[in-house]
Amino acid sequence: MDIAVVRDLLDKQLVDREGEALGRVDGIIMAYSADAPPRITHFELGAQTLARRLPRPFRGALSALARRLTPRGDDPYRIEVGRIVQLGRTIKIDIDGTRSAARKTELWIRDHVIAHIPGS
Amino acid sequence: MKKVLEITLGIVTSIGGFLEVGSLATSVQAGAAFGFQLIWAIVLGTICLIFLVEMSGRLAAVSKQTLAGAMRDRFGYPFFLIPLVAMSALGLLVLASELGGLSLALQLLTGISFPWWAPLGAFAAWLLLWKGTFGIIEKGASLLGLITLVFVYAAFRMHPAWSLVASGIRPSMPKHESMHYWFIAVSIMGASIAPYLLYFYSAGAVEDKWNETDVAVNRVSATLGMSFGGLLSIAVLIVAALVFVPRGIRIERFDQIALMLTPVMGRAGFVVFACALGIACFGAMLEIALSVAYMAAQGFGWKWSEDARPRDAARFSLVYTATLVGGCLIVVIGVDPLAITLLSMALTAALLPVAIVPFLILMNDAHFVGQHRNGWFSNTVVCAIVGLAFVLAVVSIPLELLGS
Repeated sequence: MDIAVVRDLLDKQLVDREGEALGRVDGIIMAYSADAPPRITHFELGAQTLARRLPRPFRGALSALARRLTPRGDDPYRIEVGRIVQLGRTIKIDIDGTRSAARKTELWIRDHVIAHIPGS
Repeated sequence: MKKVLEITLGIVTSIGGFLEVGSLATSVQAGAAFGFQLIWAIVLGTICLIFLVEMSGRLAAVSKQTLAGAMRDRFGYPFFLIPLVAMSALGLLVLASELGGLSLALQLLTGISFPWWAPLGAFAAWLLLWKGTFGIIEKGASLLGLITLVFVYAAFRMHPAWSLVASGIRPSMPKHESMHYWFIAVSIMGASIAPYLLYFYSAGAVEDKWNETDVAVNRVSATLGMSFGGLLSIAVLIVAALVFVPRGIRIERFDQIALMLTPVMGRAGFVVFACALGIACFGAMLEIALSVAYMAAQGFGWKWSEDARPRDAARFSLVYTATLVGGCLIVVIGVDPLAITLLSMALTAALLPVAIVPFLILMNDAHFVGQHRNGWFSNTVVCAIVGLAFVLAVVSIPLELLGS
């Protein structure tokens, strides 16, 4: 199967093995060494990756903002492409989304903001 | 039989959900200032909306993708930010107008001028989003919205000269105040074409799990529902023309509009008007806040569903909450509700290409909609009307702002 990196991978919706949303493919990582052909190794997710894709005037400010707002070491977050189980409109990854760092921000907002509001 | 029921329900919800403060205020302005002459703007806007709503339903049914998701998918993240930022900013302004309309309605009904109506209204909308489900919000708001049919009743009761009404369908050049004429024409088109509706509609179609068998149903209910909705706007314009033109009343404040049903229905007309205004604005607030949240969540790949508990879709819930708070702040600061309504509708028209051009490209991409691609006819109609609205907006908004 031919895969066009930008058409079929970049910006696609990622879901975990239960089909729950993980985020979108914000960046793609390739490994390159002198003795092997380059190959795609990881998907990258996170605010830092998103900031880097913007034109120069926005890039620095958003990247600094993202660094301030997200826990150190978790952003950007990488998923090995070896864990892909299904490629299509959405890309299914064989991981447990509830423990994944990809959902750190979602869980942080849930526990620190939403959970404090009655009826949540 | 099930299909017939489905189509009927689709039509009823579109009619009930059609009128909101934007289409109401712009139609009243048009009728009061120019008689029946601007009916053509409602007709053009409604035709364009029919095509666009049908497309967003078709996109969702065929590709199982929402409009916002498909946009990020097809055009990439940096480009996606342009419609996201434009539509969110516009959403805040429109939300503020709806909240202004709701506050006025509450004030008319209770007779109490109360600065806290806006926060109360925003809180009520938030509570419904927080606890309610998509079905309750979509169907409930639309069924209550059928009260806006009272404008059709009033239009018939006032026996307009139908030949004059018909002549307004043909576009014509203004005889006086030409800059204001074009500004109102633009505002009407912006109010009719309301792009947030497209994000709301496609998210609803995905939430209801439409598939390719729904394409035909979608076509019928979008066409009929939006056409009848457009007739409601025309009815408002007719009533405004018959009530305000002979009395020489110029609409400069929102509360002047409140008297438009009293010549036909007396005191009851005042109450019915306030109820219709309040319900229409409240329903639109729910749709706008949800649309902004849908767009962000789908574009960034977060979990989204109006049926999920807030804690299970935390970022999504946070966005609609923040949107309601933001819209409420604009009202509390105390901008003139009528001015912000007309301006936000005209700005909508100016920003239409940002939302619609990428959408058209998607609808012509076989990778997304396969054999259900747009035909040349729908492409041409949408391009022509959006192009016209954009050009008129770019010319008339600066002149209107300078003039006032």
